[in-house]
Amino acid sequence: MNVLRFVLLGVLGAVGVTAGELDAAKNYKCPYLENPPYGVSAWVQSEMVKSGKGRESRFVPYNSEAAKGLILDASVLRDTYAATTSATGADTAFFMVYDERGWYVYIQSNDPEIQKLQDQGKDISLELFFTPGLKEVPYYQVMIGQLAQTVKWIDWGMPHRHYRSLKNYAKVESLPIQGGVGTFMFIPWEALYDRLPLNEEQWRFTVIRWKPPVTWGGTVHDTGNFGLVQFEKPTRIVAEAIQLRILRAAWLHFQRTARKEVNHWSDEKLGDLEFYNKALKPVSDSETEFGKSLGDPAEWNGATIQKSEGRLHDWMEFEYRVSELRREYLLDKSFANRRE
Amino acid sequence: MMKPLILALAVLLASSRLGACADFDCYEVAALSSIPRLPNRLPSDARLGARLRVVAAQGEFEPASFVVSPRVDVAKFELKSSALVSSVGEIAASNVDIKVVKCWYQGGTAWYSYFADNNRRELVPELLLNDETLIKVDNDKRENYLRVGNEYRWISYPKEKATEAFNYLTESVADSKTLLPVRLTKGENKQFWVTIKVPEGVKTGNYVGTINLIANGKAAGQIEILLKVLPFQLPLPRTYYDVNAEYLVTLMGTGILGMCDALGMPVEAAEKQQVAIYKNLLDHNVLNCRSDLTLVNKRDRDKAIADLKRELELMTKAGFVMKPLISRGWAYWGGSEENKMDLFKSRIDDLVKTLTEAVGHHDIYLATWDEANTDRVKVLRELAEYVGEKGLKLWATTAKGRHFDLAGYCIDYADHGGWPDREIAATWHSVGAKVASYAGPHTGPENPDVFRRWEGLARYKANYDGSFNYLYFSALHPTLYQKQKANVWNDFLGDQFRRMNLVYPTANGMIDTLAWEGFREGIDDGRYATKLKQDAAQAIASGKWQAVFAAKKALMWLELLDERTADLNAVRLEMIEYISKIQTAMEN
Repeated sequence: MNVLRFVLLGVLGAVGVTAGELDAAKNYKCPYLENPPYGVSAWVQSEMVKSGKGRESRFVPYNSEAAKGLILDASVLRDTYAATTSATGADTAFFMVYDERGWYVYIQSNDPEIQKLQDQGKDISLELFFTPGLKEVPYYQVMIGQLAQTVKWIDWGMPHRHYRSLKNYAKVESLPIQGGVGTFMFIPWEALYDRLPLNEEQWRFTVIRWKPPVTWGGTVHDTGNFGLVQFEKPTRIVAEAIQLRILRAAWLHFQRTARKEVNHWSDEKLGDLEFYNKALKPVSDSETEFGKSLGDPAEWNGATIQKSEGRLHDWMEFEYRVSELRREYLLDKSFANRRE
Repeated sequence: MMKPLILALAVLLASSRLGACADFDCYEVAALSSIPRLPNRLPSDARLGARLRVVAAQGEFEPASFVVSPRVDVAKFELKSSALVSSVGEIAASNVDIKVVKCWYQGGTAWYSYFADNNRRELVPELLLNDETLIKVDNDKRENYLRVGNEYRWISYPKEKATEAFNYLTESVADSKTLLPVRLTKGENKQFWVTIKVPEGVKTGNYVGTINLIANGKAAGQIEILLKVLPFQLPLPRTYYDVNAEYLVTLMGTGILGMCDALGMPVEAAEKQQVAIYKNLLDHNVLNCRSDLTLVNKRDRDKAIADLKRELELMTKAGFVMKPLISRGWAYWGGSEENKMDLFKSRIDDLVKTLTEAVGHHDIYLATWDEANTDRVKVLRELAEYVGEKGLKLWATTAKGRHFDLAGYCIDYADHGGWPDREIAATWHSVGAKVASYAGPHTGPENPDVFRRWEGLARYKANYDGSFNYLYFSALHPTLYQKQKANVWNDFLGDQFRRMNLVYPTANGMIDTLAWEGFREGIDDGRYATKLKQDAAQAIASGKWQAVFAAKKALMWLELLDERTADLNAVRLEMIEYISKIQTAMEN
């Protein structure tokens, strides 16, 4: 066991987790589940919630000193509540699963005062953070008004080929339930297609609840003290299903984007016919031809994934590909006469 | 025998020019990019090649970058730029500045945000140095060391190990004035940053130059520089919604004279450092420097007035826009002034008199309590009456649901916390007030694209009137810095926030960073957009239908542009293309 631990520590050190983190970080194993519940009501009635299987409730009080400093954060407004000594019935728990479509998180925030809060028109909130990987990755932050049913994604990464905001992808639902509030979050794999956890990857994760102020790990933005989510390794069939789903999404995205870009740049009045004919059309036609050569997407399989290796990223990010073509074209045009 | 040798030499020369040679490869990379250029892997956008293509306006600073990927160790790697030559003129080699980009360890949220994350360390590129040995990085321990005098001091210690403050005003830290040779280590990529300063009077045209690469004393290749100088200078930035309305660019924390005085520093030394800061600010598009000296809490009123006059003199000499002025805190109770309206009024009276004498006007925005709570906003309303009576204006850091709702009628410039939003701009504009923003985000993230985008077109197209962000660098508190054991170089001391540094201060000037270059380019994007809109307005006014159509197409494109997600490098070139089309249509 000691040898195994030593080896594991070495591997984890290479990917940015220190020995201290291994010991200190909570670890939640996110399993695969076929046809998982979708939405708060479905989760409330699910086997997992009823049986408690996969229930994670190791929440600790939020650091009160750190909480005082939250007022300095000018970027967001938080409805924080003071910690109370009697938190009976106000426990917090979450469940997580994944399937071919994406990652499902259900958070149960019990609160005996829920009706009183609703009657008073007050809101309570959760804050989630996660990083799709352990190092050199962006982190995501979402603030959820559980009774007001507001969702605010705060993007710390800048949009480019390797980062996209989740606000256009994720689904979040928060509803009062018996004895509290249920909050559901679904993130489709398409949103994080370039960081899929297909090899038991660990992601950093935390949930912070503000009434009462508790956390699963760390304070806001404190990624080094978050817990860890380890995704169960998918079977070969499930992994392939995920990859095929992504590939189809990429192909559809490319077609939509290409149509839009072609329409714009080939427009005689608003586009640039020379750019369209010399730079964009050849690329667009080539990608379209290749995509069609793969046949009916409904019949794609593992061989299709291998055949289209290298295409996925450009299909998913075709608008950036076009920007790169345009930049090159304009630079070539600027320097057509090298020295004037 | 000779033929194969000549052929081999020709191939070697060609491959050097193309970026590949026996000892290393050169890759072009976009200077402003969200992809960090790290030693351990080539960035995904790297293109094998040794050519930098730069398009810039007259008088503009414009960056370019490349990565060297060594196959062997090179003990001494030098880079020397030539002049940039064209058939219409020459740009001196001294206008081509080359720096090495230093990677070091910062907190866990590095690259992305400014929040403290002291339990983790990430290696990020940040510093633009002439001497890469100014900072030593231990990759095994993930620690940083700063050369102070002749010794290296640990600067990445955790808070509990802090023993004393680091006074950057007096400590012997200095970068070299010129680029020194660097060391290349096999398998470790190294990024270089090139900034071309296009002189204002230079002629339009294409210029060519080279950066000669010398490895261990031997010529090892060249990077070709192609520079296109555009036929115009960039105008001062104006707002998106009104091409004649000023767009003010300032930053908090740029004044050090007050602190130097409090620390007992000789005036000459303090002014030298302040003047260096002013130059740095102007070189990075901060055109409206904040006057940081006030009369608040000053027992010697005459000295305080003299100091303020001197500060205004230095600012004028530096070349800042001096009308309107922006100030630090004036419109609030200072120290023992609580409820003493007479003291407050006399301070304001002295300010008006001083400004009139020093700069010939009193067109100034006075600051008040920072992030004032409801009670203070109500007090502010009382103070605002005298400010208004004297013809001065008020700026304040504001928050939703408070400042506008309670005091919207008396705040002239709202520096609204958070990310720019057209709705916020519309709210303040409805009462004739202007709006800027801060903390959207704060400084601190190293990613240059963060500041290019948020300080640039995102704020501009949200119809804001300026940028008043926090903070130029994490300065010392004049009275608390020793108790705080502050250290501007240490990213691991904050409880809530990392060091908020766009620059790092040293005895001989400021060390620039990628984020700071992004800031400048963001404001430049706004200036290009201003140029586009001004030219479009002229074209529309001409009545010539071809020019009118060209102008409106440009305006359509700018409005439809998704400035929050677009590739800004392509956007810049597109703006230049539209400007050119409008100009051509006007000429025809």
